[in-house]
Amino acid sequence: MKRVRKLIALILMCAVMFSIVLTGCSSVGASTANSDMNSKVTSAQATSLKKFKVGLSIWGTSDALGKSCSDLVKSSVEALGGETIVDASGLMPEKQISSVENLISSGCDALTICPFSDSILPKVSQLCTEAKIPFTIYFRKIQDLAVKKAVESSPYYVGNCCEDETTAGYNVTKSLADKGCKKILLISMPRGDTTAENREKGVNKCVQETGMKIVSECRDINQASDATKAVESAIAAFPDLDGILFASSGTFGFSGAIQALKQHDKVGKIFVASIDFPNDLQEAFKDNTIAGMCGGHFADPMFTVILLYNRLAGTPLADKPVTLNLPFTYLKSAADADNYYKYFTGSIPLYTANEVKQMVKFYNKDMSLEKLTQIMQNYGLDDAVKRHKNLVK
Amino acid sequence: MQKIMKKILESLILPVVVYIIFLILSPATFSKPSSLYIMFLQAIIPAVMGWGLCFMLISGLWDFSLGAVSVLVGIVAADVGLTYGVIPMLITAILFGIALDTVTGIIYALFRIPSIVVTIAMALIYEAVGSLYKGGSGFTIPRKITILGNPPFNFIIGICAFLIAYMLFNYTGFGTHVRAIGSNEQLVKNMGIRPTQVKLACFIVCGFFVGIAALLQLSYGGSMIPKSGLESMTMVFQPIMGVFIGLSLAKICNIIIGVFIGEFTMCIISTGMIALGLPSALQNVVIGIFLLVFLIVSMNPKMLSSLKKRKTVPINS
Repeated sequence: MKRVRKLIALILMCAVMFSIVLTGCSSVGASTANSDMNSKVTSAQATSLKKFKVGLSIWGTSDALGKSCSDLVKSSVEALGGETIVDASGLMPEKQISSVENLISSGCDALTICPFSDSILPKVSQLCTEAKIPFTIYFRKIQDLAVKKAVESSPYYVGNCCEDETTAGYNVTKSLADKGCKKILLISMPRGDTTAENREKGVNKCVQETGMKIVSECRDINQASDATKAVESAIAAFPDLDGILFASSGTFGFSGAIQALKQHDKVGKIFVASIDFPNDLQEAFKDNTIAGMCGGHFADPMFTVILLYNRLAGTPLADKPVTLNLPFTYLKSAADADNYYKYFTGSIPLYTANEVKQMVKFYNKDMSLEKLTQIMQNYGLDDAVKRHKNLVK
Repeated sequence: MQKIMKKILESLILPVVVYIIFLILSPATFSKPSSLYIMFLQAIIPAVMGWGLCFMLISGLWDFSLGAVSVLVGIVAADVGLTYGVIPMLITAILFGIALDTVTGIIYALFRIPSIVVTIAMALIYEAVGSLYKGGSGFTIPRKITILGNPPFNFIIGICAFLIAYMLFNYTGFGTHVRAIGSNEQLVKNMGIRPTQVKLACFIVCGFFVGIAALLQLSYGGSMIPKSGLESMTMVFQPIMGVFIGLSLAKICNIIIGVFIGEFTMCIISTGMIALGLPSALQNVVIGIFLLVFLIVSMNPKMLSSLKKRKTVPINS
């Protein structure tokens, strides 16, 4: 009996470890949409580049943004004949260091990370330099000058891609002001997160300029129901509340906030603005609940992977670390939301296998940093519709 | 009759005092009956989870997998609800909640591993399953099937859950055994009751309440997304705080009522802090301090009475 117990305990332990590995590090298989695209590329080209393993350290893949990021990176790397190792490590400094260590030990040839803050980057840089693997940063720019100098001194740091978070924060807040909002509830990440802090700089700037007031803030949203509760409490505390601003956490908190507004008959009386798109925008647009929506920047890690791939292929786009900027996409109507879900997150990847290959010098000799920058400047709903109108049904 | 009235008044002192404090600090918010109504409704979900948890805590068990069970149940129930509607969603939530906690309970009973270890390990597994379920992006349900999270249905479900918890705890052999184990496990063994079986039943009962809480949570927020890296554990903390208060109030009122009073008090505090415009970091500090002060006061009545005596004793004595 004891032996049986030990055996079952062992099996259970293995199950626990397997589940951690399964959710934390997942290797990627083929996607059907991309396989179709691959057929357009000659097999001679596809086999000529070594099969590289690219590590993606991400906060999670269960929310709309994280899933879109990881799906696009997977399809792009697959288009280039490589393999993606995804490590969903949350946004905790110590976990992110472990994530980098795990990716390195998984045999990644390069990795890209969305760091919680600048403070972890010297360690990340050290680990990648020791392992001699190139790395990039996505959704972030290094703000601490000492850290920037230290990271950029590593020959393995390839660059970063980021958005103008402060302007995005300003613009979505302005959209609430344009709707006549005076008292707003701010929903964001816990303090210390670089992106959220940059967005909030823009939020605060707009609040000061327009005379609005942030009457309450909430920073511990884990599920939609937390957002429902936060909005309900704010409605109870401030009967004249007229705006809700998701500086972050909007991907999963948005539906909860809408639920509270409907429950308390505040649709059309309290407006919602958000950075990062949730999954269910069309109805909210039709209900006239939305003041402003900005997001769609999930291609950011894909562009850092393009930088990495050019480096791995021996055709780097620059001799020194580069900073890429990706514009946010702004949605203004239910039709925009429809197009977004169709062209950005639909069955056809935002960039097809052919388009991805054209961004790598190995396949396209004319590719340069300027051309990549141009592709990124064109990024948006119009560009996606223009490129894929014949592919998307 | 006077005794009963006295007990009711005593058990309501805590929420009333907290409410009055916030009424003074933020009269605009706390003078409205609608605010009280919102706080009352908000207390239902943590209270339902808390009722399940109090069976566990009383019998000496910890369950940190509640959040993960709640998330996984919510995800599966949402999927069922999208296809089959509200009633199958309700049944799925309850049965799946019971099933998951039964698995946890069996592992605990079979291997005699401390409940903290088992439930943390199971939380990891349940989170992983949730992340893998149908692509791992969670589910958003349309408004027409969220009715159970809104009045009057959430209120009705809350009342039903309360009655079941109350009956189970006070009028069944199981409730008696749970209370007996909480008092003296060795004595219970000597009486011929098998504590392991009772504890397994605690897991099953807890699963039932977590299933209901998951359904209410899903219907209340309208969506459920998977969690990873033990993030779901944070969902356990509010119910636990309410149960702690309930356990302290158990001297003056029934624990099942005490748990609701505890959760309701926590809701008053969180709404009060929002009304005062406190930053979220400071809100957590206030909640922590409140809980500490309350537990120190309620758990150390002797210390307080000795302090009183010291004050009243004349100096020359």
